[in-house]
Amino acid sequence: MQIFRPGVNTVAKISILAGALVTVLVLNFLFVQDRSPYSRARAGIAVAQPVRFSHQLHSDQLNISCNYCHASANEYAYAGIPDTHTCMSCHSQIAVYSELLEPVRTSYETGDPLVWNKVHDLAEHVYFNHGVHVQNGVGCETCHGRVDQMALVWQAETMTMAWCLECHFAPEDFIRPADEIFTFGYEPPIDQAVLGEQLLEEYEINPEGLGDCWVCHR
Amino acid sequence: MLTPKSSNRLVLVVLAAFSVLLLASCMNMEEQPKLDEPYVFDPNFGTAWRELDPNAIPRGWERDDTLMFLGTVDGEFVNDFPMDVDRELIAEGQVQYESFCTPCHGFAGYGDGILNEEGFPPPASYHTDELRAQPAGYYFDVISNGRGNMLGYGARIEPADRWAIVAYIRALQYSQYQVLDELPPDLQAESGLLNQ
Ligand code: HEC
Ligand code: HEC
Ligand code: HEC
Ligand code: HEC
Ligand code: HEC
Ligand code: HEC
Repeated sequence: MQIFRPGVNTVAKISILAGALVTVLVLNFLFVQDRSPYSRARAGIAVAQPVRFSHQLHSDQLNISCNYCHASANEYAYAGIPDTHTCMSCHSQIAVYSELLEPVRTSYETGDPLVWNKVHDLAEHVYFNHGVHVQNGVGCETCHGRVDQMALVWQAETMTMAWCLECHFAPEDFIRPADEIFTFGYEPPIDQAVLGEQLLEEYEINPEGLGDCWVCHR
Repeated sequence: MLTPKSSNRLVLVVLAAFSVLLLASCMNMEEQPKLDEPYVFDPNFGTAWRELDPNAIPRGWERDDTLMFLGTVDGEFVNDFPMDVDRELIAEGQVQYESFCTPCHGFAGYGDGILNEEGFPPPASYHTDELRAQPAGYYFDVISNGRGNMLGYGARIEPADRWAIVAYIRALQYSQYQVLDELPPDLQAESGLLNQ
């Protein structure tokens, strides 16, 4: 008795091919999807936090400087998240009965730090440094968007390698004068091309080599 | 002199050292220590960040120079700076002052910051005889350790930057309290107060 008719040979061949094709397609989909801004699940979605801390209220309405809470962004690799002592420097007197602030008061009393959820999280094989950027004309807004308008922070940019490189290949298109680093709603001047070149000199930035792999992967 | 035996041992030691290096290089780039958690796992020491021994003094944290770190000499606040006060220091002081102090003390130091409207008890103005007479060291101490309702900023502002703030407060005080006769003649004319 013949189980497989001769025609099955063709079916077998086709299914091998189709299997290979599907595999390639699936891998390709995953690969493309991983790089697509839409599937960078972090970008554009506000992250829930243990305390409903609003940058819109503190930065825009109250006009408190980013430095008050993220001072180390100016010089060091990490911008850092403020401790509860920082919150309490105001909230020891302000909104002292607010329920929203209960976790802050508890943390201050017990010494257990608040555990904030990370909004940005670069892959661990990438080296990043705030100080270098802040001291070389890159505004907070360029990478973080209008944080001053966010009630809860979300990641404004995709933060893919391509995104970093877009600037590293042509920093002159993006950099600002030193007194505009903390400006939000900054409009680059029409002559950014001229200003950009000027600023490159002022900051002594050499764009040559900024795209080398070892700059970010070390 | 290297006897054959000791040179063997030398080879062994070198090999051992080399293999330790090799092992160390196995630490994979994916697992670099990062600021994900308060305590980062480190294969050599268990945890990379640990509570400091209370008696340990980290490098760069010696506090022998009491003027620099406490604003005192022989236990008394002094009206002196541990560095030269120049335009650069005052400019840095302005940046720091406007980052940390204006919410309560206001841009010119009158104690009229935006937080007063929100219910924070207003601090005294810097432009009083009493505060003008306070030595620089006193200001440094208040910034570091706080006073009354004001919590300290010592943990967040480095000592040199705290001194820069003190210099800027002094500049604010001068700017709001000048004896007309002591100004240079051109500024006297500019002030528009001469013929009043
Ligand atoms: C009063 C303190 C305070 C001020 C002022 C402040 N921040 Fe924040 N910031 C926080 C806290 C607390 C968090 C963590 C909670 C969160 O993500 O919302 C945070 C989070 C962030 C994050 C996301 C960090 C992450 O998890 O990846 C960014 C970006 C940021 N701040 C930027 C800014 C910028 C830019 C400014 C100035 C416009 C600013 N912040 C002013 C307290 C502050
Ligand atoms: C420079 C002063 C200042 C600092 C520092 C500060 N806040 Fe505030 N915060 C305020 C003021 C002013 C309000 C408005 C209070 C009101 O609405 O009456 C406020 C409001 C809030 C509220 C809303 C309270 C409510 O009941 O509506 C929350 C939550 C809050 N802050 C969290 C924080 C956290 C968390 C930190 C530390 C990361 C922090 N704040 C640091 C000044 C400050
Ligand atoms: C060149 C782009 C860039 C600029 C400019 C920049 N940031 Fe960031 N920021 C990042 C990236 C990327 C991360 C995520 C780092 C990580 O996950 O390791 C980050 C993370 C943060 C965090 C989370 C805590 C931390 O240190 O990882 C805070 C807070 C923050 N930034 C605030 C600021 C502030 C305030 C400024 C302006 C003074 C600023 N950033 C300027 C790219 C930037
Ligand atoms: C808007 C422009 C811009 C963006 C976006 C940007 N960078 Fe940069 N980056 C710069 C400039 C400008 C410098 C300073 C170059 C110099 O000092 O000559 C720099 C320097 C660096 C350095 C330090 C190089 C060194 O020699 O120490 C690293 C690391 C780095 N960037 C990583 C990143 C990563 C990772 C990202 C993406 C998450 C990123 N950058 C996004 C503009 C940018
Ligand atoms: C300006 C900084 C920067 C430079 C320069 C850079 N990279 Fe990257 N690279 C990144 C960032 C950021 C990521 C993480 C992207 C992510 O999370 O998706 C990354 C991820 C990667 C990955 C992991 C796979 C992926 O795409 O997520 C590889 C492989 C890689 N880079 C190779 C390279 C090579 C090769 C070079 C030199 C030609 C290079 N990178 C130069 C920032 C950089
Ligand atoms: C959150 C509000 C707040 C902030 C921010 C703040 N202060 Fe104060 N400060 C006060 C209050 C309230 C007092 C009055 C304390 C008392 O005597 O009870 C005070 C008192 C002082 C005094 C002593 C005045 C006197 O009467 O002897 C000095 C000096 C001072 N502050 C300097 C600073 C400097 C410098 C900064 C910035 C690094 C700063 N403060 C930030 C609220 C603040």
